[in-house]
Amino acid sequence: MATPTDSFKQFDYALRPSKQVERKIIMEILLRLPRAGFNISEYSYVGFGSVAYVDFVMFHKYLFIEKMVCIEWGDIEKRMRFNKPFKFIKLKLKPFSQYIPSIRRRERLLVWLDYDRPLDPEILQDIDGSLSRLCPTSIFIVTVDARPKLPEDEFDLQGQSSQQRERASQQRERVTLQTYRSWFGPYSNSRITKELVARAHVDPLFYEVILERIRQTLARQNPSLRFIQLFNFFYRDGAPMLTVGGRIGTERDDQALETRGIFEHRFVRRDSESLQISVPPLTIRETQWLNHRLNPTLRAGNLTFELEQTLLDNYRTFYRQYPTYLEALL
Amino acid sequence: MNHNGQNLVAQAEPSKAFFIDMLTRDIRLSVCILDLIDNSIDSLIAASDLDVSQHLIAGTKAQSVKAQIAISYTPSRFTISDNCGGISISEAEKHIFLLGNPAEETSGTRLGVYGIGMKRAFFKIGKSISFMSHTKDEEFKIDIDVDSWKKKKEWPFPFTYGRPKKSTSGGTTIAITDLHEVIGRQFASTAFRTLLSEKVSRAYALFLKAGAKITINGEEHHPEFPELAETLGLRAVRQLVKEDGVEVLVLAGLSPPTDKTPRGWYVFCNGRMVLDADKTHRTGWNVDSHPTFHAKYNHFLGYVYFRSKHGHKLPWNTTKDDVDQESPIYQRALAEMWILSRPVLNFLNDLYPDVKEEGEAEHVLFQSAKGVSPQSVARRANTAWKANVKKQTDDTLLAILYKRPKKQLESIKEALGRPRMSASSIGQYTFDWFYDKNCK
Repeated sequence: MATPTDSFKQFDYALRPSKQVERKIIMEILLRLPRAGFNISEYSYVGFGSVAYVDFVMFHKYLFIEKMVCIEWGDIEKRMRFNKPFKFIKLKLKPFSQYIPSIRRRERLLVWLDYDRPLDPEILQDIDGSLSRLCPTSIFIVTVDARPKLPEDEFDLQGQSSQQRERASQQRERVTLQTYRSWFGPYSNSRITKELVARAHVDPLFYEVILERIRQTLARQNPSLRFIQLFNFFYRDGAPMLTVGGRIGTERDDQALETRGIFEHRFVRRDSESLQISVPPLTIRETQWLNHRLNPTLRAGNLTFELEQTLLDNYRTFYRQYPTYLEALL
Repeated sequence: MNHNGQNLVAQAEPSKAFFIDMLTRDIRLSVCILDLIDNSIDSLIAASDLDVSQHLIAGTKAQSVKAQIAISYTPSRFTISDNCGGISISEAEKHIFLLGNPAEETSGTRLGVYGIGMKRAFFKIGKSISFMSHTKDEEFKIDIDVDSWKKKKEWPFPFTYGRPKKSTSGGTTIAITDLHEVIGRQFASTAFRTLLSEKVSRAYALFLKAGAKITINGEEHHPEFPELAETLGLRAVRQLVKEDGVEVLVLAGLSPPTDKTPRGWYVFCNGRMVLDADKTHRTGWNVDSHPTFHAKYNHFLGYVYFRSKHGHKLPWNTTKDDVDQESPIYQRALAEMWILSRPVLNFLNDLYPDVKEEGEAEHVLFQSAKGVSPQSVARRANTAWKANVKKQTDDTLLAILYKRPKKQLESIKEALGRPRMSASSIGQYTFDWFYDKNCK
């Protein structure tokens, strides 16, 4: 539990800085695709907007995408319509599963299934369904909460005795283990263990399951199709989150991306080793000071303010994507 | 013999016993009889260019055919007789009796692909087969004594006769006697008769609808199509996919509230049913992340119609009572079936939620639905699943239904001093009392 003096180490969750860094990294990498002949601005974007439509605004402004579909199934129809930032965004107020049948096979899409819940069979069906419809060259990204948590696992343990809490926790782990074995066992090479589901996050398991689901779906469509992985990101703005993404293509496409240097981007992740996105909470003055002096040799001890070496290293890694937040009085 | 391995050959000839005694173990009697009906239907397709799947997909009315297929059996004899156009002597010489179709090609949307069904049916049913057929210009007969044919080294079946003969129409009659004991017993069973009747009504529903008549021991069979439920705001999905010379039409929705039969997927190839109300892994249930069929999905109803002039591209197996699950076109169709049926299953999940009143709006919509034929849904352009459920608001009225012992109700009446109060009034009174006291 964070002590009062730890609060300076935390961001306001609503700002979601790591998420913002992730968006910028994804954009940077996608902006390299035209080198290999894939013009990202000609893609259509399909995503889950929520009332802020952040991805939509950024992808329109910086990736120049002009065809966008926002899927939303919450009970916030009026808010979604009210907050829609651009007229051209098509708003579909229905579950993604109902939208999948209308995906046109020939359209190049950038699809981002950005869930705020852990992996479950519904999500696997969404992955399977959408990849069954997506054409080669489309880009597919999925984000899930990386905690081993079941949908009904929302009960509040506060206020109970420590013994009751302990029993409930053991019961929860048992049920999670059984459920995960039945849900994900067929997708995983290794046995899902009690120790695994007892962890705070299970991103390696979710990564393996997502990749295997994608592989099976593409192989069923056409054995020559493959998922050319570009993104494997792990970040935490509160809940630990996993993002896996890439491009659907053939071995030839894979080679084309390699030849054109797409994979050389330092944040591209082609395997199970994820990029850990972690950014320190800094004041604007601190970031400006750091930006002015940032070089590979700068050490925490040389700073004029307190900052742990790891946080300084993290800042050095992501300083270009680091979001700056100011209150704007509009 | 050359011991260096040159000029050595390993024998690989087939044996007659394989066809007579072994291949017949993989097929049930009812399925065998459908194979013989397929043979008649194929003659009909060849003579009339009938293409029931094409009409279904195009939404046009199939031309009316006047064909009759009569099956009759007793514990000692089986016959199937049709007036579907007959088989020419040339066809009988070159193709019809081959064990296996070497060309892997068919013409038109025919039901015969593998060239094994009819012969396997002969061997399954009995030992003495009489095959007579006539076209408008000629006739022939072949008699097969299975035991003596088995002993011979030669494979061909000699013609009993083959000669020119003018006739107004063509037809084929197959009579099988000297039945295997187990077959005779099945022919004596009422359960078998019911099973065969049900299979025929469903497997050939599109052909029956087009005018073909099939009788079993004199009883005519009518097409049976489970209906899809529709009403204003509730519409089944229809999607046509074309790939590699195969058209796949998928319909998915609900069976009407009055239909109490658990449904599932019905799969057809060139108009002939190969899977009947399937709820198994064959149609993807409990495979990957798809759900297991459960009582709450009893009203799920899906149709998949494959059509191709290249019969070998269709995903039917040789017995035509199952699908070739590995076939690329079936895998492709399976993905489409589950994309299209997911919203339907989600509706059923909402219809039968853990907390009953949460499904109230879905129930209102579902109960108002009426049955429509799959043909009328197939006739449309591609349509998405629609279920306009009226969302509950804070003012939506929900029913509360529960039971309590009479003795306790009497005590409440006494406490209230109202001995004639009804049970439902007590329920409302006690609810209002609690609400006023705790929630206002």
